[in-house]
Amino acid sequence: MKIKFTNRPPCPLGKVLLRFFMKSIIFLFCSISFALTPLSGEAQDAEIIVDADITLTVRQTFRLINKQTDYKFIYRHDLIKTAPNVELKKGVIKAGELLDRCLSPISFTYNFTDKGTIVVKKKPVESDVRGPNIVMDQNIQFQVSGTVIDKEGTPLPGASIVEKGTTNGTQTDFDGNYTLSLEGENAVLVVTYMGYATKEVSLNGQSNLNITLQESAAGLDEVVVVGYGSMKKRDILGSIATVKSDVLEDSSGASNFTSLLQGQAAGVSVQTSTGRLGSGVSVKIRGLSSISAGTSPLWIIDGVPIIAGAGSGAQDTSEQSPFSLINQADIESIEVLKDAAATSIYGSRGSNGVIIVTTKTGQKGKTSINLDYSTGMSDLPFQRVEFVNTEEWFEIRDKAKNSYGLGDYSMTDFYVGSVYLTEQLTLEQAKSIDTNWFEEAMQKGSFQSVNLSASGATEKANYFVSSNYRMDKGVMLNDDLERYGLRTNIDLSPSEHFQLGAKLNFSLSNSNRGKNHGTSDSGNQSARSGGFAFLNQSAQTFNPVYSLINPNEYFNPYIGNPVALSDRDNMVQDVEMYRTLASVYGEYSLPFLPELSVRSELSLDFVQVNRNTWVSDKIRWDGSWANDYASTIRTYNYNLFLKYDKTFGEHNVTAVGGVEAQRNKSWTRGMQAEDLVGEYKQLGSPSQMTWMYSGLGGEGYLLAYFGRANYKYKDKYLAGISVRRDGSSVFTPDYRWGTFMAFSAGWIMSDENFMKGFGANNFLKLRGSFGQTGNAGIPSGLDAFSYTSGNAYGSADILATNGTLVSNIGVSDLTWETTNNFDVGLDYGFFNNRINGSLAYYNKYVKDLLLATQLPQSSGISTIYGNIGDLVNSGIEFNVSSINIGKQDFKWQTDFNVSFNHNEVKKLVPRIDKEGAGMVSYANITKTGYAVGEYYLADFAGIDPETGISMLYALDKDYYDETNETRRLKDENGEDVKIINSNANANANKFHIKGKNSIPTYYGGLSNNFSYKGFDLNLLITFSGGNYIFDSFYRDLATDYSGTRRMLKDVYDNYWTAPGDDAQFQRVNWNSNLRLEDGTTVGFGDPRTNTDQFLFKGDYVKFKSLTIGYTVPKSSNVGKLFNGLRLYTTVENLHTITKYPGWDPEGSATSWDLPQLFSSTFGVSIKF
Amino acid sequence: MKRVLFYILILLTISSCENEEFFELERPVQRPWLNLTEFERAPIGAYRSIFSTYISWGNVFNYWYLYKNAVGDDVAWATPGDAAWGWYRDTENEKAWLSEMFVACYKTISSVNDAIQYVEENNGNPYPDITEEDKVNNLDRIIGELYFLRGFSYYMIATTFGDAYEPGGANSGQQIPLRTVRASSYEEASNSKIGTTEEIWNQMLTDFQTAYELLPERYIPGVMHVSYEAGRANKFAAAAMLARIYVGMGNYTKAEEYGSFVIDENGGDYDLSEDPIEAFNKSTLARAKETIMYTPCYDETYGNQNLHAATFSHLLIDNPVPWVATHMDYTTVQRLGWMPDPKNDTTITIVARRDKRYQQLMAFRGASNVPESDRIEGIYYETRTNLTWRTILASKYFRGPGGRYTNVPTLRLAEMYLTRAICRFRGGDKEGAASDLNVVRKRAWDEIIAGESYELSDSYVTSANVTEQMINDERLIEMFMEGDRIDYLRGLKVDIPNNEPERGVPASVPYTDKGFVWPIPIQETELNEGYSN
Repeated sequence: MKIKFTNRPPCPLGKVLLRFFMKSIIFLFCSISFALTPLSGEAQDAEIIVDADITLTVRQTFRLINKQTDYKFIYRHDLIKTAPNVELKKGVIKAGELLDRCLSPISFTYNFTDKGTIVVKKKPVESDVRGPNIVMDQNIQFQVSGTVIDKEGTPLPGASIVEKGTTNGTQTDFDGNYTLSLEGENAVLVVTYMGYATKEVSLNGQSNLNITLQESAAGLDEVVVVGYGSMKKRDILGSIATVKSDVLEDSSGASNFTSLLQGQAAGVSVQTSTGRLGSGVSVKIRGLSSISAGTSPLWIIDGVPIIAGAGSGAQDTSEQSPFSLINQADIESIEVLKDAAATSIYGSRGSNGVIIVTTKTGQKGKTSINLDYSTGMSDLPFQRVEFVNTEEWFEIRDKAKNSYGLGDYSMTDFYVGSVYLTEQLTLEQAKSIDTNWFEEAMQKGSFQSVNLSASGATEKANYFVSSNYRMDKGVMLNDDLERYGLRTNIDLSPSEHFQLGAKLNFSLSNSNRGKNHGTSDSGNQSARSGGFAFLNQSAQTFNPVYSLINPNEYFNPYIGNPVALSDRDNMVQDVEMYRTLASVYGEYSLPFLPELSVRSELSLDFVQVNRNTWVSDKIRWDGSWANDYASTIRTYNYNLFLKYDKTFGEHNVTAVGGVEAQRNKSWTRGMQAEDLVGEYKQLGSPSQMTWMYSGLGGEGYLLAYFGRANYKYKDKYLAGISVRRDGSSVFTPDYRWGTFMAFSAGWIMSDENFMKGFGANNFLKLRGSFGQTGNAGIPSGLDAFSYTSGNAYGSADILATNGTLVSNIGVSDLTWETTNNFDVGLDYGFFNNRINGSLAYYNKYVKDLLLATQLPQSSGISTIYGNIGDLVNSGIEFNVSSINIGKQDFKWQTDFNVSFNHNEVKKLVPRIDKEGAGMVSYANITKTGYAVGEYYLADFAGIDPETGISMLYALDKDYYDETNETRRLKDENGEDVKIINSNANANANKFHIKGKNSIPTYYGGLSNNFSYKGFDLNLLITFSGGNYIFDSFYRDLATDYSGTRRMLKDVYDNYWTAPGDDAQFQRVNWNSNLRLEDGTTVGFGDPRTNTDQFLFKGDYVKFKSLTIGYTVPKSSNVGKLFNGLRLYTTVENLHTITKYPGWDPEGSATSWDLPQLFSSTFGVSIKF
Repeated sequence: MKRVLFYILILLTISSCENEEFFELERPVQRPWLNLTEFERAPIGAYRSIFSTYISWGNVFNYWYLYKNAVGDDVAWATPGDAAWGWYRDTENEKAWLSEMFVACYKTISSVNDAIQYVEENNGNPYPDITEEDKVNNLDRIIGELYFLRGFSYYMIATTFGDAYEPGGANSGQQIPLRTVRASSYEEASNSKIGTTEEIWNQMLTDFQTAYELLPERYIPGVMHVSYEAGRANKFAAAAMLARIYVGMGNYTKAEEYGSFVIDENGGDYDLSEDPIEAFNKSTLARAKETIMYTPCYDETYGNQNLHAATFSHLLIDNPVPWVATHMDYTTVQRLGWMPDPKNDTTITIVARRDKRYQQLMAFRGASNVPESDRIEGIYYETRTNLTWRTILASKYFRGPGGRYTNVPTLRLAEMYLTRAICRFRGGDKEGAASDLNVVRKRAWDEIIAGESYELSDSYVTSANVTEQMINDERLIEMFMEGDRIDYLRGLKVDIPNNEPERGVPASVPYTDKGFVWPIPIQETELNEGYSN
């Protein structure tokens, strides 16, 4: 549970309500009470039945009373240890008498509160008693009383008031009142309260002192969820970023909550590859920690390690992420664990970081019912990629064809060779049409979302129940996503020592996901044409939507008509996804050893994905086609652990230790067929089955032992150790087990005397850790020879479709990829914690990389896994939160975070390192001494101003043969040698583009929150950069002067036309053939060469979201109707500053899909 | 504290069994060939890899003959300046598609090595319970096919990335990885022997010889696995490949021996009684009478055929693309007498028109500068380049009713006749050579167009007038665009003509010229330790 008031939008009623809950909780859970109200007569007279003669300890006596009266006891365990046992005779005894017999011998007394609680405390010395709430020692000379309030005047119950330098103290009552006897009139009071900055007040002789506490910006008393438990933020030794739940509270156009993490936490890079509904989001913590093994963090929701990917097997579309089934409104907090101190306890799953999501629980107090409704629209962003119109397109084609002396372009050129036409346009017809396909095949997206939740608590139970419904209509025709969710979180405390609870989440979604493929190959034979990529690549403006001959039919559906391809009468790709996230836990604190408790959690994540893809013969030349796929994925997790928390004087020890087991597996089945029978949009009983599979897979079993101990001395010297031993089924028995340890230490410097000049209520903590985590993110079964099957030669009718080929050589000695994490950080809070944050440096050295090493091709297999190579990520993270203005009516808070990451390969396969050539894969090279996957492209030398030909720098091949280093060839004058950008030259003259790869090196976010009376405003700016994008999709468009692709306006405006032009793009040519002015011809081959002409900076700054909210005052007529009423509007993806010329620097550079969409939302949140 | 430790101890004791059972997979990786029927999967996969895997625009075998065609002297590429021209003929630089071919061939080799080793590890019979009939007809056959497939893979690689074999020469240059056993570790996989020309060619001989000995002559329904019916190697296919290898090694006697075996001892399975088109128009399980082996592409789900045939074949049937970048070389056309004076007088002569191979397996392409108004429907006019002359193209692919789902012949009887003809000629048996040549010529003779019978025409060959050029040109026509020309000439150990005076290249080059050898893929030379030994 995280309790925090800062950064929430003003919501007076909600705030009051929440504070009421909090007060109750804190009051009830306080462990010391000094109040002295006499036990009420009624309670004192309650009769307790004793069944038989018995001797009871004090605790047993309390339980007896509790059982028969429901009164709950509050007392300090350690103070009543010396109490003698009580001998009772069978019969009836009054509660007061029984308590007197228990407590009098040890000079304790008790009082009854009107909340049904009996507070047990030391009996005060009978002296000059002036009031009820007095604790006095023999030498007490002075007494002070007053009220502790927050700055809005609300009393704070349960606040601790201690005389500085002593153990003398008290606690405020339910109304915030306190009275304390002191040794002198110049004593200093230290007042602490959870969520508020600690305050020291000099008495200066005052006997009545009201104390106002400020909310703690640093939230040092916040409880932060860590692995297998929680800790106060002040005591945290690891690098943990907390994402505030308020970023998730308002609904928005985001259809996967993980995208909302962008810019919210230092060290966390969040990249959304497409704006499709519910699409996956790439989250990387502190850089790329592996090359071949998994790089995604471990996600834990309410203790459940969850399924992060659940593919529906759909090709050429963006898959729906199972994260899209998590209702963001259910989330209370998100913690990102980054260093070994925090993640080592997760052992083999921790090297990519851990993200812990905690859902809401009921708060004690009045039942709260929340109803949130929001609706909104979405559209392409304002910044768009521009294309030429019909006239301009034909103008370029004419020029291109004429450039080779072949006359003007004709429609024959466009239609040549296509047998999939149903209709041909004349040139005249074509030139008269200018279809805007972005309008024809797209629409305004919209969504509606309803959340209804109820929460509350009684003495023995708390609950949170929510249901949600959300319907999104995408911007592409025939793209939608509908979701239902139900959550029940219940925690029960049936007895003083036992707690149990369950968190159950059921959700399902239906979506229709269109295809995304840029062309229509062979009359859409593979049934994958359509979508945004098609609009950008093939949707020619001169094609009409409907046939000119028969307007009831689509124009040329087989060669790709985006509207026909999006018509649900022609194409269906329905994905159903069901998810059950369920966990139950029990926790028992031992009665005779209260510092020790045992907890066990059992959880299940279950995802079922069903997909039905169906294509009619109206858009597929080869006839109707369908593919049916289903996948059932299960993860079970079980743990049992002990928790220990004990304070010895100035020493405090907390520890956790236990066992955990996790079992994952999945069952998939699929079939595909052609020539369907019947009219249903399904596979049915087809004439021709073309593919079928069913089987068990994804098996992964994990068994672990873990422990963590933290030690604290004087509340300012901190040390921790964690250890985990993991066994995983992906390794063979001899290599199965790995042990991961981490050590950490911290020093709260601000508590030292020498820091006194630093000022009151400021905070400075130095912390550091070193430890190991592991990565076992590889498939099972790599220890055995494996074969691909289903290699068909011939035909099904002669059973020749299931041939085998060797695909893998078994490797039996694979073991963990180990990351040595070093982290040092400084957490700070200045100016009474109004400015706070942290600064951290980390170094993650990954040893024994699980590297899928390339093999010589003659081995017959492409790669082999081995623990080969090392990699390092190092970086700096900084975040600051500042309350710039904190007036009652006007607040302004700024949060900023930035992270810098450096990635470097330290070691690869010995032969590769010896040769120095690196591992080349398509347009990337991974080489020791450089970052993973730097670009390996031909070196574009610009457009020759005289000839208009695209040029490359020649590679110094002799030097390369000698050193395996790439550099430009020089001529006898020392000038760079330039050669034409032909396909052959581009392939033979590739350069290692050092320092440039696709991984961002810096990223972060800036958020500003303003509130004025009932209004609030939040502006979020995110940024990322240092990466480069090799955009082959843009290249294909930009180099096609004579083919059938659409043409970019950029190219139309900037191609070479005459000698002397300093052009951006090559002169027009005909099928990559060019006739020069002197009559000679030049051929370039396939123009889609991999050159750095199309390598773009990936840096961007996004104006990500702007929210304006208004909380209706409780005093208004409308406000009186509810316990809270808030209206808000949010706009997202307002503007992106970037040099990248495509739609979205976060998007795919090989097949453009929807960018992050502009969206606007209106919402209302009502509390009853 | 003691009690705390005690409870921790209990907890750990309860659960601290590093129990292996916990990690046992329900579906561990399984051996793929649990019985003889399943062992059939081994050759099927290997055939798939080299004859039917769809890579980019074609399959491995198709890419092999695409590039072999590209360097042939019988082919011209659209117009000078067309980028494709230089691209395919460029043997200095690594070609992506050839690299993919290299990969697929070695994938076959490694899978075959694994399967053969599996047999050897089980003392020659992994399935001891099978009947003797099964052993001969199925197990031995499968093993024979495996050897055939390894030999064929080496054949494609050696003829693409290796030097020509020099009879009597040292043939000692290190060429390509020679792998005959399964690699079972990183070290073995990344370090192989690099075979010399001699070793590689001998390996092919050994493989095809073993296949020849183990393979049956034909498919026997009900006895052999049904998959063996289509597109698989038999004894005659192995003999045909032995004939090819021996020609490549300059041993014409042995080549003649195996060619004769195919021609004379096939029990009537193969002859040249059908029209030439019949080998190229099958979109069913059916086989032409002359087809010894073919890739079955007829299954619309599983049949993968070479779309890149578009580069060198007339593609008016199914999937036409404007990339017919090749045509018959002008000098060749003139030498054959098919056009009086290509580029000036492009009339198609009677010599061409009466030849069924021209009629059925070739087409002409109209010049690009023919005005739209003068164009004749049904004739394909060049659009991609400014080719201003009528040209003759191959039109051998996609000729069945299934379009691209048309079987592709791998080995045809006509080639064996022509192989035997040249071997006989070189061995001094001119009569035999003339006889074989006449069989091929007669099959292609259209008596109606010619207006006379073949035997009475001046095309009829006798021992008196037969020449090597005649046999070679006949083979050029017969095998046009099937990837044969260069290796045939390299096999004859003659200088290879070059008909590109406009490019300033020499009129001919020795058959050992490196211009016919593509570089080994860089990834192989960089990653294979064998290349640094």
